Amino acid sequence: MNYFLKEIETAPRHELEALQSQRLSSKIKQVYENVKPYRAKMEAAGVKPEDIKSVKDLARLPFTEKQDLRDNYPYGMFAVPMSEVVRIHASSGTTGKQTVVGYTANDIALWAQCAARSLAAIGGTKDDIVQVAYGYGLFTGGLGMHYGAERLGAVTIPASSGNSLRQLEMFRDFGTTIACLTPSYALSLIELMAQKGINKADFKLKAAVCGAEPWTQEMRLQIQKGLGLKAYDIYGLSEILGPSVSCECVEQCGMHICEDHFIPEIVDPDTFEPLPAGEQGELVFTCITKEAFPLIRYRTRDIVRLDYSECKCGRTLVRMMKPQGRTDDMLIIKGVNVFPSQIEAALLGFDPNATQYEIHVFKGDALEVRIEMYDGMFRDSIGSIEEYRRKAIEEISSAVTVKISIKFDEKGQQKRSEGKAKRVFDNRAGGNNHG
Amino acid sequence: MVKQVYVHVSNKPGRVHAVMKTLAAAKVNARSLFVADTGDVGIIRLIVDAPERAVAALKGGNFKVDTTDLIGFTVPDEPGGLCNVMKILGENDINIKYSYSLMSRGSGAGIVIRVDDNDKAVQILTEAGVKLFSQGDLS
Repeated sequence: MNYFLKEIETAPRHELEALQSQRLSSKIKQVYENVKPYRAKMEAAGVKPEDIKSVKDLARLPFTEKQDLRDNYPYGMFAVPMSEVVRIHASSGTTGKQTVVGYTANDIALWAQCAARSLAAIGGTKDDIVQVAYGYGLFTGGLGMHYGAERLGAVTIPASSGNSLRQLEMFRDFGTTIACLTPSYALSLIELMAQKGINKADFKLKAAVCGAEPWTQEMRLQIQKGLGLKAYDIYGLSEILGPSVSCECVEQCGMHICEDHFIPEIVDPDTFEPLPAGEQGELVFTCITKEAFPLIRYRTRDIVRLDYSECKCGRTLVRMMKPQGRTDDMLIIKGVNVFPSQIEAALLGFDPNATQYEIHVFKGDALEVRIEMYDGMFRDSIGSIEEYRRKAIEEISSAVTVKISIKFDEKGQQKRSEGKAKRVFDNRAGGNNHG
Repeated sequence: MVKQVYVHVSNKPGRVHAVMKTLAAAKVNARSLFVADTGDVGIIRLIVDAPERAVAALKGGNFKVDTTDLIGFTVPDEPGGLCNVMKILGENDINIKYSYSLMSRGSGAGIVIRVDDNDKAVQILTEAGVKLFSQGDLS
């Protein structure tokens, strides 16, 4: 089995918890002394740094939310002087003002280590050629995986996103073995291969590391088939680190969290009470090693289940299952909670080829799924179109328990993604328009 | 047999034009056109002189294009001309899914039909002495 830091990645749980406890108590002291909003929150909650002695005391601490970051925009939550900060990233800000995060030199090294661990977990070594096709810039995807690939000692290609034909040429000519890209971009590259008659047999790809947006098992199978590789799920958010907060291993059965740096908790999304291990709820992270931007009990809005059972890969680090949705992506349709991920799973379960789709919500809570037509989707009869429509409505409506309608868009008409795909369009007054 | 080219487009203004423009650029001559719609999807059905070239051009334009085999036959251009053929098909339990006509072919009128079992229909029409034409006759 391939590890990057075997001692930590396979540490017995009691040893890991001891390390977490020690790091947590010293981190809480640091933020209490250096971050005004944290001191104010802790004082309001009646908690003192010396009350936090171990991971068991975590639940006594107040939560941090995205709104706290907006209220203290841009640098109000930084825990070190700006002279110690060497890098800034910012979130895409699709649902409000962008949030700014900072990194010290040690934070950048820590991030590179986490990303190298992710690449090693999926079988990466210094002999690999890693093409980073995430966007480079304020978005953490590109630079995050870039530093990780270099830390691993692999050949790193800073391809960034876009220029799709060139991406395919690099796969072929540079002998890329690992591609880092969003799952929707992987699918749009596969589509381009078909158009240009490019064959996956010309590639040496063995793995794709896909993150930054939700995707389904059906999409995984399509990416694996289309590019001739294994596709792995990676998770991260800029507030906590960027990609590689957690990543799958070769077993493809959940993403191992770098628990020596980030303590995960699962809380009830309504009451915010911690839930027992194994239950599904909102994922909350506490950073215990980062210097510049160590968020405490940050509510990620992702609905997740953690699995503490032993993994075949030998890692003892807890596995988080693929997020089942985001509390802020959730659409409320006629009083029913609908996650876009449910719609996608039902659609692709019904037709694995219907990967280009959009979800539109209109006044009166009308939910419409627009599927782009592809070659061979139906024959020349109206009957075959209506049969498809009827079945799709049936499958998706029963999965989300809300009646939906189906529209077909012309081939090539929907906007293609080069990064995070925008699939949800809420046209109701005050509706969010998010990924 | 006649090779019909069909394209699925959005049912909105300008889409038939987009298809015809692509065919014109590829110097494909359309002999007949039939547009059907389902509300959001339009099916553009075409009989052309060069189906392969038409498909290649439309594929290049990123259209969702495919072909189906239709049966083509000629009937006298006079009252009752089509009546006899329809009688034969009906009596032999052959259902027509759709049908349209072509620009005049010599002294007769050209008709294409889409049925479930092409082989059976061809056999019956041939035996009845109906004049069939094929793709080769259209180039």
